[in-house]
This record gives sequence, structure tokens and C-alpha cells, in this order.
Amino acid sequence: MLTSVSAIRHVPSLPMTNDPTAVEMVGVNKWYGTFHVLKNIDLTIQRGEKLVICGPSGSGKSTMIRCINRLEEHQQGRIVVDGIELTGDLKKINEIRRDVGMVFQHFNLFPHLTVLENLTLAPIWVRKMRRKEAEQVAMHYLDRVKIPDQAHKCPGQLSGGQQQRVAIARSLCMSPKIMLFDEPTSALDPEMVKEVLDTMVSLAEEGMTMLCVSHEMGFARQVADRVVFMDQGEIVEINTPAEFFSSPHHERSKLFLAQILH
Amino acid sequence: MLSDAKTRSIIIQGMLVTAVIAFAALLVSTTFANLKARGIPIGFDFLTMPSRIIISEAILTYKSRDPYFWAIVVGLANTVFISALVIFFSSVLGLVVGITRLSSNPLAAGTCRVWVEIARNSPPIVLLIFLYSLWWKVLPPVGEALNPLPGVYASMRGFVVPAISIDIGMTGALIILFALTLAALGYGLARSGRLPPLVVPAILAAGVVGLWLADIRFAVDFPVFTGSNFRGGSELTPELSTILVGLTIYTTGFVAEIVRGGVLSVGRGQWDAGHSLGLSRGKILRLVVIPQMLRVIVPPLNSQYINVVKNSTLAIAVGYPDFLAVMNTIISKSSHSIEGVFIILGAYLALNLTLSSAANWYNRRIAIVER
Ligand SMILES: Nc1ncnc2c1ncn2[C@@H]1O[C@H](COP(=O)(O)OP(=O)(O)OP(=O)(O)O)[C@@H](O)[C@H]1O
Ligand SMILES: [Mg+2]
Repeated sequence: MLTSVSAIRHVPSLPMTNDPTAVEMVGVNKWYGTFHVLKNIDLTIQRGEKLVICGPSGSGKSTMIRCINRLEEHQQGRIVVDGIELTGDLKKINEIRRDVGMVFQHFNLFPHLTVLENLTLAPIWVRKMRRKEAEQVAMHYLDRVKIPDQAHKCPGQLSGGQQQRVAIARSLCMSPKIMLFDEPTSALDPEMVKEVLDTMVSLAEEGMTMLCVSHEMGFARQVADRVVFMDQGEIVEINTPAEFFSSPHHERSKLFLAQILH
Repeated sequence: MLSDAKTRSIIIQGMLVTAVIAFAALLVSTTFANLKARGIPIGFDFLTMPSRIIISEAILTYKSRDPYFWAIVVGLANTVFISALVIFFSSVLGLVVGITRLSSNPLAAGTCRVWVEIARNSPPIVLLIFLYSLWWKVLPPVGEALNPLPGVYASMRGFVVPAISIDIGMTGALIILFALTLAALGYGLARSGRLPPLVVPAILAAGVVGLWLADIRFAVDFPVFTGSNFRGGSELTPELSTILVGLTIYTTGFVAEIVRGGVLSVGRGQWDAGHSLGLSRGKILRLVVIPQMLRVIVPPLNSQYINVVKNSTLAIAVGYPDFLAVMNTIISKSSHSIEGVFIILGAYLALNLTLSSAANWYNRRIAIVER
């Protein structure tokens, strides 16, 4: 039973190596056909760091973070995640995906499975955990996102906020070292945004390495170490949240902030 | 009054029904009168008389001394046998072909696409006649039979495959029934989870012991090539092989398209979620995509299965005695054509309604799981 105890305890991104870098992107370029979505992206993320990425629609925010767990393929440049470089090597890709959790705008829960089954699927089939143990871990995380009583319902029976918290718990069940969030609150009704953000804040406080695409300024101010502003496939500005929101350096940042503040 | 939509529709429907009934009554009464005038008897008592027709091959044992009703059963068994095998193989192959069409490997995807296009665009009877003509042109004589899979031989004389025989006595069958009931009971109780823990294993153990006591002899008889012939195994004639292979190729094309549509109906977000959790492509298909697409594909799949039963009547093109062929012979021999036609319609209706209700039952079951 020792294993299950250690699995339940969330170990906040302990470095496997001495390398303090979680993600490194160097000169990353990506095209959809002739359309240049990512232009010379250089970005280094330290372990335990929290990054908020914002920018206008279509600026390539989703594409950039989806490159980190290879949901999208980049065509040029280097992406190193947790010391492993992303190439066509399927084994390495799977290794990285096991350690990088992702939460989507539309939850993407498995509708044919119960909440508990959603949470235990990957631990059982990827981590080869025994069902009992996986369920214990799952209940632990459902507890953490404050919906242990919904374990046996189907996702369709939950509210949007609850579904998103299940999605977060589902990722956490794999004990990821890095979490990616792609606009986790933008499909939610306003009254449910807070419950999801609270979950994310507590995760941040535990030291998780997080990359969040989000326009929630309050959240960014509260947890972000840096804010990354993207426009037209480029990283235009990287700044501390305090400075970015009060006195952004770049013209395009100012324009964008003026728009979202209305 | 006639301007009221409801009243008007009732009046129109009433007139229609009356017309149909009147027409049917006219048809039946004239037929009966005509048959009587010509001295042709009508009724089902001919069924118990010896048929003296010849059925060239059959799954069940048949001798020409057997009565008509047994000939009918034998024909029906042939049709059910063909349909069941074609449905099974085209489902399995269709799943593989449909999924492979979506693969990123251009050669594999292209091959499957060619298969689908050929199957969907050729009349099945042409496919059957073409395949039938190949037996003697492409396949070697028995002496040089091809051996594509262990235990499977193909030659001019058709396929030879391993024979599977299950041998149980009457008492054995009863014990199995009892054991299965117990096992089902145990399973049901286990799921409801309201039992002291030892009861379920005890019931399951009783079931297993029952199966052991039943003394089932399950034997697989592999064909052995003796130089000029085969010993053991089951021989499938070229006619049966053609109809099985031909209809399977044909139906697979349609099943593959349904499967492809089903896979595409599951959104990209599900793949993203699966990949981001580290699941491989195969596992995402098996655990996430296929379970979800089943509820989409069961209804169209069911109509393909019904088509298989209907297409099995094409066996007549290669001279295999399916139900329709047997009924044709029976009708011309006994001259009970009216009764014969009713038996034919009734049998196909029964087969297809059985398939539909099975599909409906399955659909309801998976729908409940989703809630
Ligand atoms: N599969 C694709 N094929 C072609 N173009 C694509 C594809 N996916 C995204 N794009 C384009 O790439 C650009 C960047 O898309 P991306 O989804 O990364 O933007 P985003 O910053 O996340 O925007 P949003 O805030 O609307 O989510 C967009 O212009 C989009 O139209
Ligand atoms: Mg996006």
C-alpha cells in the first residue's frame, strides 16, 4: 500500500535532473500550409513557474501550447520538455505526454464513461496501475476539486464548472510535472468561472509548473510569474503581470489591453 | 366541414384504407375462385408430404425422402448460415478497412479506398459471377491446393477449413442451461453489490463445476492433405465459397464507410484529450472512439445486415441452394405457389425483424449507459 500513498500525495514537480528548465522553445516556427502560425518562438519556462499567455484571437496561443505536448507538430526549431527533445520519435512523445497534463476550453471529457472512469482510464492503461489503486487516486483528486459526490455520474450530468474541475482532476491523476491550460474558463458561465480559477490557484500554490492561455486578469495578477503576450504568431512582450497590466511596453499590448478592458 | 384539416385527413385516410382492403379482397377472392375452377387445392397440408426434391448442398442433413417442411427448414438454415457468416466477417473486416482508410499511411489508406469503391459501385451479382468464374481460372487443382492460413486450403474444388464440432448430450445441455442460469444470477447479484462477499464466488464455482460435469466435447478437426484429397475438415464448395467471399467483399465496403463515418463523428477533442493523457492511437480508438461511435453506427449497420439477408438470395446466380432457391423448387414441384410466396415473405420478414429488434435492444442498452 506504500505505492498508493505516494501516488496520492501530490509531489510538486520534483526535478528529476538538476536541470531547472521545464520547457525550452528555441526558434520554433510552424506553418499551416502557407499560413505562418508561429514565428520564431523563443521561450524558456523554469520548473515551478506560472505563465499566463494572452493575445487576440487567432494569434497562435493554442497552437503554441499544443506544440508542447505535440498535439501539433512544429516544423522548425527545438522544443525540449523535461529534458526530452520533441522529435518524430513516438516513444519520446508518449513519455512527454505522460508528464504533461492538459486542460481544454471545452473540457473534452469522455462522455461515455463515468467521472470516476474518466479519471482512472489513463492511470490504468498508461501507468498500468491496478484499478483499486487508480480509484483511490481518483477519489483523492475529486476531493481536491471538491466534487467527490459526483464520481459515479456521467459528465453530461454535471455543470460546466464541475466538468472543468473533473478535467483538471483527470490530468492530475497522471501526476504531471507540467500543466497546460487552454482557455479553461472561456466556455463557462460567469458564475462558474471562480470555482475553476480557485482550483487552478490552489494548484499554483502547490508549486505546479503551469502554462495558462487565459484572459482572466485577476488570475494572472494573483499567480502569474510572467505574462506572455502574443500577436500574429509572435511573442510580442514578456513581462511581469503588474507591469504588463499597468504599463505595457509595446503598442500592440496596449491596444489589446484597451480592448479586453471594455 | 371539409375545410377542417383534421376531418379532411381522416376522410382521405378512410377512403384509402377502404380502397386497399377492397382491392385485396378482390384479389384473394378471384385467386381462390380461379384456383378452385382449375382444381388446384390450396392449404398447407402438403408440407408433411415427402418432397422428393434435390438440394445440392445443405448445412443440415437432408434426404429427398424428407417432407416439404424439412426441405424448407434446410433452405432457411442455408440462408441463415450464409447471412450469419457474411455479417460476422464483413463486420470485422469493415471495422479494419474503415479505420485503415483514415490512417496516415497512404498505401494502406489507398488500398482500403479501392476496396470500398469497388464494393460500393459494382452490382453484387456481377461481383459474384466474376468471382465464380475465377475459381477454375485462378485456383489450382486439388493436388496443388493453396494453403494461405494453417488449416485453410483453397483449390478449384472450393475451400477446406477446420471443422469445429461441439458434442453435448441431452443431460449435458440441461446442466449447461442450469450452470449458465446460476452464473448469470451470480453476475447480476455481484453487480447489484448487495451480498456477503463469499456468495458470488460460490455461485460462480458451482457454474464452473456444472460446465465441467456437462462433459462438453469440443473438437477442432484440422484437414489433412493426403496427396489427392483431404481427410477431415469441412469442405466448402466453390458455390458456397463464392457467395460467402463475394457477399463479404461487397458488404465490407458498406460497413467500412459506416465505420469511417462513425470514427469521424467522434470529435477531435476526444483525440486531443486521449493523446494528452499519453494514450496511444490504438488505445484511444479502442477505449474512447469505438465505444462512442457504436451508438452512431448501429442503426445504419443494421440496415446493412438486413441487406445481407436480402442479398443472400443472389446465391441463385451461382447455383447455391439458399432459402429462395429451395422455395422456388418446392413451388414448381408442389404447385402451391400462393402458400410458397407467403412462406417466403414471412421467413424474410421474420429474419429481418429479428435483426432489427436485436439492434434496437443493443441501442437501448448503450443509450442507458450514457443516460
Ligand atoms: N488545423 C488548422 N489548419 C489551418 N489553420 C489553422 C488550424 N488551426 C488553427 N489555424 C489557424 O491558426 C491561427 C492560430 O490559431 P490558434 O488556435 O492557435 O489561435 P488562438 O490564439 O488560440 O486563438 P483563440 O483565442 O481564438 O483560441 C488561426 O488563424 C487559425 O485560423
Ligand atoms: Mg485558442
